[in-house]
Amino acid sequence: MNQPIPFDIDDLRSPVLVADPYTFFGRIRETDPVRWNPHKKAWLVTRHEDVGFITRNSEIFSSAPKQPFLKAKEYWPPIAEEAWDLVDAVDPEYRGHLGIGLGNFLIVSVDRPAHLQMRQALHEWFMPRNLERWRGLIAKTVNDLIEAHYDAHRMEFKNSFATKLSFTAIRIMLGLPEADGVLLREISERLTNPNDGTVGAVAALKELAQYMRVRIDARMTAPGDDILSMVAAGEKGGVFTRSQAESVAITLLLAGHETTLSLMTNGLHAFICNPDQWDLLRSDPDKLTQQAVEECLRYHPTLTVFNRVAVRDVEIGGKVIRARDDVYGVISSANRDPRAFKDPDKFDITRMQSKHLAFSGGIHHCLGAPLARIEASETFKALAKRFERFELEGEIEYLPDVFVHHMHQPVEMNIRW
Amino acid sequence: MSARTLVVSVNLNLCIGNAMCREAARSTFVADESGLSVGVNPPPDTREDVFAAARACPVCAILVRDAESGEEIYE
Repeated sequence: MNQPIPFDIDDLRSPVLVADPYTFFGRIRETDPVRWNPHKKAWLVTRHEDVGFITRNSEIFSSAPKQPFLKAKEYWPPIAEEAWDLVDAVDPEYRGHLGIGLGNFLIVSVDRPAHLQMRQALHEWFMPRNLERWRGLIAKTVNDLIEAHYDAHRMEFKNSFATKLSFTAIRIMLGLPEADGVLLREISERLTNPNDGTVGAVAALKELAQYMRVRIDARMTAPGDDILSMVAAGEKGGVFTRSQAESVAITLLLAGHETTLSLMTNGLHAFICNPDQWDLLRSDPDKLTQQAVEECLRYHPTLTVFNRVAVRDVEIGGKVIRARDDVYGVISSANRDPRAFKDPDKFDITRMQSKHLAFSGGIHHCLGAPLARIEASETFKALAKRFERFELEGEIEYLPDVFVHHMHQPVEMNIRW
Repeated sequence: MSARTLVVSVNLNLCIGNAMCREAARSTFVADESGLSVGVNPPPDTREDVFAAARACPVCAILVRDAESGEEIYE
């Protein structure tokens, strides 16, 4: 057995956490599974059973976070001082998009009863059977992308493949024209890339909100067969305020591609590191892809953590959490909990019906989960049929600061075949 | 012609407690003690509401069958 690497399990900006959240959170899970973090001033809940309990008990664990309503100078991790006034001037309805008031994405950060109305305004679109009509378009986009790169024998997978696929799919569903694709992706990047700093993010957020406003207004009078028309109907029906409608449109655009591109990139990385599993998938892609996607979700959940606030005192994992305490459910630990999964650190696509928490659970279970499943399964099926073996070129680095954007996402991933 | 009697079931290996079924067919789908959904048979809600609940499940955990033949029904 390897000597455990020494690191401070309370240091949420540790390079160990960025590179390998499973080792980092796994150490917490096995030593102090419900642990108070003195820097974040929040509980980290790490066992599968306890994280699942939080997801299914939304009346005990509120999704309305405290942080977006704090003054900018009170945030942790800290916001650069030159951005304090700008951030304080931003409507709290939007702040989650800045990558600072995490969890404040609309619908995600709302409790019942308002949550139910908002969810119902959009739920129909995302029902598994209703999404099937998009499978053909997604499969075609996958094939076009493969054709575009095949002869080069190498590509940067995250941006040239995964991002293009997931962004195209959500752009079309929202009802936004291809001509706006480059602009939208460019603004999205400025908004989500923490290297750009908060000042740039605030400007990008205003641009995106304005862009969405014009499109939502157009659909108030002339609705079409797209998601923005459902958002417009929700605003008309009083479910969303004006700023909420803009915010939810931005959420759908960002959540609709940042997460799925991570699933595909991290999933392919897992296959590259486990060539026996790639061979197995290749032996019968039509049969094995669906469960392989579930294993990718379990093994590398895109979102590492989700946040809640305790509504009342509650005991969990033997600790008493007090009313108003901040609580983080750690998905990347729950999905690797040996109490829930045999050989949890083994990437094994033969697992059946594994109860991973990659999409969380309960009333906030990811709205786009059925779409992510279609995109990932069409991708892995097509890749498995076409490519015998992928290899990595260079090392993988991950986006920094897990507690800013919550995602475990490679900066880029260069592959060859 | 009398409507066929339905039997509903929830696959608890798939259910994640999204609870949209409990909104669509409030008497047919109820929460168990762990926050997952279980089915009540015979379903007290209308046929339309029962199928709306099945369609609303994001993880396709709900199965509706014909009580006599056991045949799976999708509407």
